[in-house]
Amino acid sequence: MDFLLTAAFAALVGMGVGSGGLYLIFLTLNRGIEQLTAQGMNLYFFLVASAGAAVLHLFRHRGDLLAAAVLGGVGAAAAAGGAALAGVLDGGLLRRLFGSFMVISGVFAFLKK
Amino acid sequence: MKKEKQEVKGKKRTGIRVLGGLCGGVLNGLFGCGGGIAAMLALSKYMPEERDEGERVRRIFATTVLSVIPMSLGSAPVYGTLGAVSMRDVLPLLLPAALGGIAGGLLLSRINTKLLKKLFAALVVWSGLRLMM
Repeated sequence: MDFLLTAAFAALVGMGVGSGGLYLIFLTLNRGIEQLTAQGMNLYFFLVASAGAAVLHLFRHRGDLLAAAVLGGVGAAAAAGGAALAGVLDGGLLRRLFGSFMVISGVFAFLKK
Repeated sequence: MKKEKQEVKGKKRTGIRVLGGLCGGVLNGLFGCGGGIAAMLALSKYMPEERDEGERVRRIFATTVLSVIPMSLGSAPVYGTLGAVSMRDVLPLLLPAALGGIAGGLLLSRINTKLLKKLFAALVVWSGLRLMM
């Protein structure tokens, strides 16, 4: 069952509908995994899930490579800093901050046309 | 005059992308997700119009996926270094993640992603509220 669920979440990643957060929530709420560990697992999950989709997008010339390079290059450095910060925060605080972020981004996504 | 306008537009586009990368990267590293939201916002701002709006949206989705991969490559090793995640945690995810991701890439042009996003946005809000309690 976990195999199918993970594959389903990965399919959503491949479609770009933003399911990374959902899989993370699945790991914490349904599997009881500690927040920081779940976040780390989710990153590796995303890397593998998006790799296949990325190859397809590149093969079909669908993505803007220059835009992706700028966003991704700057983002990589910022992400390392964000991860280091996550490592020093209290687990409970990190979970609540993450929950708040999910509520805000979910409302925003729901209301967006 | 036209060339100057284009240069300003080009600089604005780069600025938006850099800002999107910064915000997306911090979210990606701090929460293990969320980089795509910032990337998508930045891309929506300046992705050129296409004859088919659906094609423009799929282009934004595809570019978002390509943008967030480097972000995750920046943050994932840090989680490993912190000892927060091990290969034992990650190995069971690899095969289903790979298969599902490929399926998603193939389905992108066949699915009404707008409806899906609304459904999952509602689920994310509910889940986020549960996490805050």
